[in-house]
Order: sequence, then C-alpha cells, then structure tokens
Amino acid sequence: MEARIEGTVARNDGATDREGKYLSFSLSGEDYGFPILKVKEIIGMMPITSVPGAPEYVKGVVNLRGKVIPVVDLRLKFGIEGSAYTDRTCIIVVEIQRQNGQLLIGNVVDSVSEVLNIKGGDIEDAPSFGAKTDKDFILGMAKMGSGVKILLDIEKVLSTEEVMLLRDAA
Amino acid sequence: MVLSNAKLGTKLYSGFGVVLGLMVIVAAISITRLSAVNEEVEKIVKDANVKVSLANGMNDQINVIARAIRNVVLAEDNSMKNQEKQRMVEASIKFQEANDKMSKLVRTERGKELLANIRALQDTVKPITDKALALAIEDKDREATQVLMNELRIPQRKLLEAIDGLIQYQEEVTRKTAEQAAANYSSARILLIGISTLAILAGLAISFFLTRGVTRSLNKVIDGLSEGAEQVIAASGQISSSTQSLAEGSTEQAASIEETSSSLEEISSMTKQNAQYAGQADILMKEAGQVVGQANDSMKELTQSMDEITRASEDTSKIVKSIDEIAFQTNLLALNAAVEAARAGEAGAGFAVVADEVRNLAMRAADAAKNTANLIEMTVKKVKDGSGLVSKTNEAFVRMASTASNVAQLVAEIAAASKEQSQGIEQVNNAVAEMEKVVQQNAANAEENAAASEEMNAQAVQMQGFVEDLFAIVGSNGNGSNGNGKKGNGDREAWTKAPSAGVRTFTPAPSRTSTFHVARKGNGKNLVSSKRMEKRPDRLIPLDDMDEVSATF
Repeated sequence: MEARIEGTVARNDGATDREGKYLSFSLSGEDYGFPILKVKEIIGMMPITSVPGAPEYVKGVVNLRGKVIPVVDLRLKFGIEGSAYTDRTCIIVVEIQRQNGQLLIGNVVDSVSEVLNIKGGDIEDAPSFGAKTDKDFILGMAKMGSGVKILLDIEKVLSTEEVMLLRDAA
Repeated sequence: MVLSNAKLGTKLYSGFGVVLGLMVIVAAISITRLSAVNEEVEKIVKDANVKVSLANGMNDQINVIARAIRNVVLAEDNSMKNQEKQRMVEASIKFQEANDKMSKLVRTERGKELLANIRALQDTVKPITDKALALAIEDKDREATQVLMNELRIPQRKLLEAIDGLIQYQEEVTRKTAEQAAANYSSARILLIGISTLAILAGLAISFFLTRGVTRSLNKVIDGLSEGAEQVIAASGQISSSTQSLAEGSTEQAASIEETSSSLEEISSMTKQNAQYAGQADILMKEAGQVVGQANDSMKELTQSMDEITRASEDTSKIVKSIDEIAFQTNLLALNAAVEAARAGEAGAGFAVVADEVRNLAMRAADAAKNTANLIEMTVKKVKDGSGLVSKTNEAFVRMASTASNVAQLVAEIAAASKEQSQGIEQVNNAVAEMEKVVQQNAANAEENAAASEEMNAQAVQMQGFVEDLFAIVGSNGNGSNGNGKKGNGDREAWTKAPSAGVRTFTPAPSRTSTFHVARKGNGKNLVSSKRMEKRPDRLIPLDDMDEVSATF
C-alpha cells in the first residue's frame, strides 16, 4: 500500500468529511474501521482484570504503562457472540471526548489489519433498517475491493451512561 | 437162536466151542479106541510076539542043542566037542532064560499048561541030552548016537512040537488080538465117522447161522459205514468248497489289504509332506515374524525420527511463532506509529512513510513467518500423515503379526494334526498289518482246512475201501465185489492225482461210488449223493486236469 501524504483537512461533505485514514480491524469476520485520529494506541492482548458489577460487555480493566484503562469487548457490545481470544486479538485504545475531558477506552477486537486511506467517494451511508439508535454509531460503509468495511463512530458506540459507568469503573 | 444177541466173540467162541467139543469127543473116542488098538498091538508086540519070539528062541535053542549034541557026537576033535558042549551049555542056559521069561509072561491057563508041558518035556529031554553029551565027550560016539537016535529023538521032537504048539498058541493069541484090534478099529471108525459127520453137520449149522447173523450185522455196519463215509465225503466236499471260497475271499481280502496298504502309504507320504510343508511354513512364519520384528524396529526408529522431526518442527514453529509475534508486534508498532504520524499531521508525514515501510517489513516478516509456518504445517501435516501411515503400517504389521501368530498357531496345529495323522496312520498301518496277518492266517487255515478235508476225504475213501474189504469178506451179493474193490483202488488213485496245486480242490471218484452202490442194491439216497458228487468235478477240477481225471473215468 502506498503511503500517501495527505492532510487531514476535514471537508464538510457528508462523504468527504468522512474521508481520511481509518484503522481497519476485524470483528467476527467483518471488517470495521475506526478513524485514525480517534485511535490512541494499539496494543496486543494483555491480562484483563475483571471488575465485578460491570455490564457484560465490560471485560474489565488493564494496566497500560501505569494507566488503568477500561476494556470493552466490542463483540459483546454489538451483541455478537463472544469468542476466545487468539494471539491476534488486540486492544485498540481509543480516545473519546467527554465533558470532563478525554477518556481512554480499550476495545477488544479480533484482529487489527492496517491503516487505510479511504476516499470520500468510497464511503456510503449506512442503509436504514428502521431502528435509529442502531445505526447511530455507523459512520458509513467503505467499499474496499470486494468487501465492505463498516466505519464506526466510536463516540456513539458507547452511550453517555455507559461512558459514565466506564469512568466510574476506571 | 439164544445167542443171536450175544457178542460176536461169544458167538464165535461158542460156535467154535461146540465144534471143538465135538472134535474133542472125536479125539477122545479116537484116542480111546486107538489106545485100545494100541493095547492090542502092544499085547501083540510086547506080549504075544515076545512070547512067540521067546518060544521061537526056545525052539532055536533046543535046535541048537539038538544040533550041538549031534555035532558033539559027530565031532572027532575034543576041542570041537568042547566047543559044541559049550554051545550046548549056552543054549541050554538061554533056553532056561527064555523059559523063565516065558513062564513069567504067560498068563492064560492054556499057555501055562503048554509051558508046563514044555517044562515037563524039557525035564525029560535034558537028562537024555546030558547023557548023550557025557557019552560024546567021553568019545563014546556010538552010544551017544544011539542015545540020540533012540532016546532023544522022540522026546526032543515032542519038545519041539510042544514048543511049536506054544508058538502056534501064541500066534493064535496074536491073531485073535489082531482081530480084536481090527474090530476095535472098525467100530472106532464107524463111531468116528458118525461123530465126525455129526460134528461137521453141527459145525456147518453153527457156521451157517453164525455167518448169517454176523453177515447181517456186518452188512448193517457196512451200510452204516458206507453211508457215513459218503456223508463224510459230502461234508468234506462242502468243507473243501467253502474252504475254497474262504481262500478266494482271503485272496480278495489280501488284495484289498494291499490296496489299502498302498493307499495308506500314499496318505502317509502325503501326511509326511504336509508335516514338512507345515514345518517349512512354520520356519517361514518365524522368518516373517523376524522380518516383522525388524520392520517394527524400523518403524519404531521411524516413529522416533518422526517424533524428532515433529519436535524440531515444533521448535521451529515456536521460533516461527515468536517471529510471527515479533512481526505482529512490529505491525502494531507500525500501526501505532502510523496513528501517531496521522495525529501528528504534516509533521508526521515522513514518519508515516517510515511507519509504512516498517509495516511492510513487518508484513513481509509476517508473510515469511506465515510461509514458514505453512511449510512447517505442511511438514507437520506430512509428518502426521507419515505418522498416520506409520501407525497404519504398524497396525497392518500388528495385524500381520497377529495373522502370523494365528497362522503360526494354525501351522502348529497342522503340524500337531499331521503328527496325530501320522500316528493314526501308524495305527491303521498296524491294524492293516494285523489284518494281513489274520488274512494270512485265514489263508493258512483255509489251506489247513483244505488239507484236512482232503485228509478226511482220503480217510473216508479209505473207510469205503475198508467197507469194501468188509464187503468182500462178507461176500454174499458179490456180483463183482472183487471188481468193485479193484475199481475202487484205481479210482482212489485217480482222486489223489486230480487236485491242482493251488487252491486244493478235491473230487470224489463218482464212478466208483456209484458202482459201489449199485452193487449193494443201491438205495435211492446213495445214488442221489453220488450224483451230487458227480457234479463237483465239473466245478472244481481245473480245466487242464480234466484229461487226467476223465481218463480214469
């Protein structure tokens, strides 16, 4: 993949403002993408300390270089059946904005692929299935070769209460 | 007759006894008569003749004396006279002796009378003689002669006549005695003839009755013996035929035993071969077992080396994994770097390039690691396949081993069975040998039987011969009893020649027996039996002997 030097000038198009670099990862065989700016770090799997009383999709917390970061299992969050962690399982640490500042959340994914530079033209809106809340967190669908990558808006993946919970948990 | 039921000996004794008794009577009569005649003869010889000779002697002596006295008278020589005198004296003595003897012997009145007369006469003569003698000796011949002529002559003549008379008397006596003897002889002859005739008649009667009785019983016995001999011959014929069939059966049996024996030989040799094959199979199985063992060892080594390969592969895969991990981590680092570069914006553009390159390298490393991992996987898979094959082969070997052990067991069982078979065959062989012995013994027994039946037949024929002899002795019907006897002999010889050397057959001589029976007013039964016998020669005589036998017929 060629390296492209591009600015991350945000466009105000519905499609073009979603153009940019995304970190693609896979979950249960499906490819998804996080916007690269939201990604703080990618780490390999490490022992997760579970927190009692936390919701099911909150696996627990990890200690990342002295910082305690809550970890969420996106599969469980999406209602996909959980599976065992492999050696390719990674934790993508994302940064989300909240009133009190930035919050680091780890997402357990099956595997991390690459950093993709996705053009606005390749991004389509998500088709509507009826329930509004479901597709809030889908930024769009990126056409990649033969498949479709679902670009996720990390801010919306986790709702506010959940974030509160997470914060409390952390 | 009273004696008809007595034993033959008793009969004979009694018959002979009667005849002998009559003979004894005859002898007694003859002896008595003969002794009477002998007496007479003795009388004549010892008595009358003696007396006659004595009387003749006396006569002679008187004559001698008379001659002598005359010679004395006539003689001139004294010596001669003395000689004559001596002679006279001697004669006188002799005369006296004879007279004495005579007087002792004479017993009849007449004889005694005559003798006394003679003595008286002699008494008268003697002195005269003496006188003459004295005169003669004195050489008074003439006186002597005178005496002789006148005194002596007449008394001397009387004396001689008396003596003659005595002689005649004695001769008369002799004659009478002879007549007596003749009379005795005739009476004795008549008596003896009569008694002899009687004895002969009695003897004839007795012998007739005796003979008849004996003949009858002998005939009965002959009949019985003859029948018995026939039946014995028939029986021996049957024995011979059954012996022949026995011998035939024995021959067949021997042949089948031979066959059985040869079959057994074959079976035995086959069994031996089987045992050999089993042994070879066993050896081969053992070799196979060895080979299997070797294969097993090789397999073990193979498994070991495969295990080593697997371990090496595992080690390699561990290394590859670590490489992969490194690549992964590098990838992550690269991603992180890309993220930072993206967040850094323009300033991180070059860094983004570097991150990309690093990512590329990481990808390449990851690829290489993946390839290596694939290769390793393939190797491992191949090793697994190989392992699978090895285990399959092992299984196959195990199966083979079990099969081999099964086969070995079977082979061992075959060997054992072969051994038992051999033993069984041995036993059967023994049994067959025993059977052969028995068959041989049967054959020998059959031979013995045949010999015995021959012997029996010979004995029966002999018996028939004896019966014939008896018959000849008894005689009576004899049209050709002698002829029968001769024929019988001839036929008997024919019989002994007929049988062949092999299975001993016998043929009775039918012609002989048939004529024999015809001669004896043949009973139907006998004829039937002879017919039965006539069949036999056709059956039993081998063809080449036919001429010999038919010649005798």
